[in-house]
Amino acid sequence: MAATQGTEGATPAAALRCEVSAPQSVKAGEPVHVTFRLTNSTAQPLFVLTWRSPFEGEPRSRFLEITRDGTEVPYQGPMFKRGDPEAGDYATLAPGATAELKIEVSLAYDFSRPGTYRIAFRGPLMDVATQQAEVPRPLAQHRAMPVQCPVVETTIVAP
Amino acid sequence: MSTSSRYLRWLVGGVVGFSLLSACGAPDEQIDTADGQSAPEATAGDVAVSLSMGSTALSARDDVQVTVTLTNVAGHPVKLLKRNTPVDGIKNELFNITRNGAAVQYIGRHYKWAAPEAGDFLTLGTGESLTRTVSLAGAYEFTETGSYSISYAEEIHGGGATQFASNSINVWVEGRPNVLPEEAGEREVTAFGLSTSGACTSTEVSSITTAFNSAKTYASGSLSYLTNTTPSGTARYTTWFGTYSSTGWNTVKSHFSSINSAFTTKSVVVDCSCSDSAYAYVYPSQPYKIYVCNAFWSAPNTGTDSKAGTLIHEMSHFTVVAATDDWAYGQSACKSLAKSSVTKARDNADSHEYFAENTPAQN
Ligand SMILES: [Zn+2]
Repeated sequence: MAATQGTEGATPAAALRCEVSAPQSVKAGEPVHVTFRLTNSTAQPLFVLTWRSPFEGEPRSRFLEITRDGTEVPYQGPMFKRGDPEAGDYATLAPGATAELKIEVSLAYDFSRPGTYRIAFRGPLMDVATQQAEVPRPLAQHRAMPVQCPVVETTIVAP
Repeated sequence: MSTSSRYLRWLVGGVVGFSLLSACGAPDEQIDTADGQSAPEATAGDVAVSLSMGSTALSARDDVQVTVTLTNVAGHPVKLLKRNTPVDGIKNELFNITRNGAAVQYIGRHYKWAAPEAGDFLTLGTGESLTRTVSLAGAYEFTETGSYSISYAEEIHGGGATQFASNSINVWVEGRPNVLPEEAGEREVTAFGLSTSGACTSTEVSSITTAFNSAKTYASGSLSYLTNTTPSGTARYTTWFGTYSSTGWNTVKSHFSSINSAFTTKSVVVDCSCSDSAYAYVYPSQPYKIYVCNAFWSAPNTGTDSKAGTLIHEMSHFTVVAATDDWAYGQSACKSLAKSSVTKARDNADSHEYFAENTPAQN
């Protein structure tokens, strides 16, 4: 465990590079998708806990901050109380690999009103490990990793 | 977990209305509101009734509260006339009560009921339960000290057709003056509302009921701690919410005030249909429905990460309660959060749960 901590301590904050894209405009009432591209820029595989991140695949936590013309858009999806994770709660990213995660944000946020929506994921990732044998690990051993994703905008237009 | 949006389908094509008592097999199953019309009215043997009380002896200062659980054992949905159930409090002679063998007078309200319409019925889905804790003090005469025997009325007096057989409970009650129904009435209607959905088994209903009562104790205990302790950097406060400030203390106090009043005055529904490995989940914009999952069932009733604590965690999420988020999970991460961000700690559901559970106890 001590060796692991040393490794992670030496890992720079940009171990995971993040790009985000969203359509410039969407007609009100149509689904809104945001695509996250997360790249492992280290020489080691990364084992990423999916909770509270784009790796959840669909909104299952309030991991995004969304505003419409500056006003917060409330999250309406589920919020879970979690215990220790299971193996299936981790995603694997090989060295240099990119995970592309398309999230249908309109499933959990109301995008029905026209306006300019800003969508931000500010991280951090709740637990990231570099050794497969270390995961899943109990909550008390989790090591969060910061991730910097750019904020994207999409405009909802009247149909 | 599949990527199909089983937790999110409700937002697609408009929000599905939630009816507290409609049959509801799974979170993504659209509620069939036609059920209420189509289900046959319950007949003898369709509904099992169980009664319980927290104590076997009550002093004159104690309220006489009984917890009633009605479970549909018919094998198909059934409808019940609401006034023959405690769903909205005691509005009818729902109980048979005797003292030392003699019948005890019903002093509650007598309503003149019109012929029932569709809205006067509730539907219990197959295996579904309804639980209410009601105060008997405004409805029956407890002026004499003695041993009281309480059961659910097998037949509603005044010609109700529905038959309910229940267990009988015995309780020693110290005599007290009658409470006017006008004084007790308001509380009966709103207080202590717990019902279940999603095909909870009777064992599950009983552990939910116990957890719900313990969660109420946690909520009122937390509120009274924050009200009666001189605000300062106590160990209990700083462990979960970080460096003391009067603003911080008051925010947490207002959260527990809301949590406490939700547990004591709102109709809470606990749903058993989730099979995720998590403890529980809620939709923050849909109070007061709490979905309990696998980890909930193996948790202890009280203490760290307990059933009662999980209900505190979930109740804090509702936008109309404390609108908390999940910034950190588990005691260790929550202690770190209290050190790194007091703002996030005050906005974190598990931090509220651990403060309420207070295990190991701190002053
Ligand atoms: Zn939560």
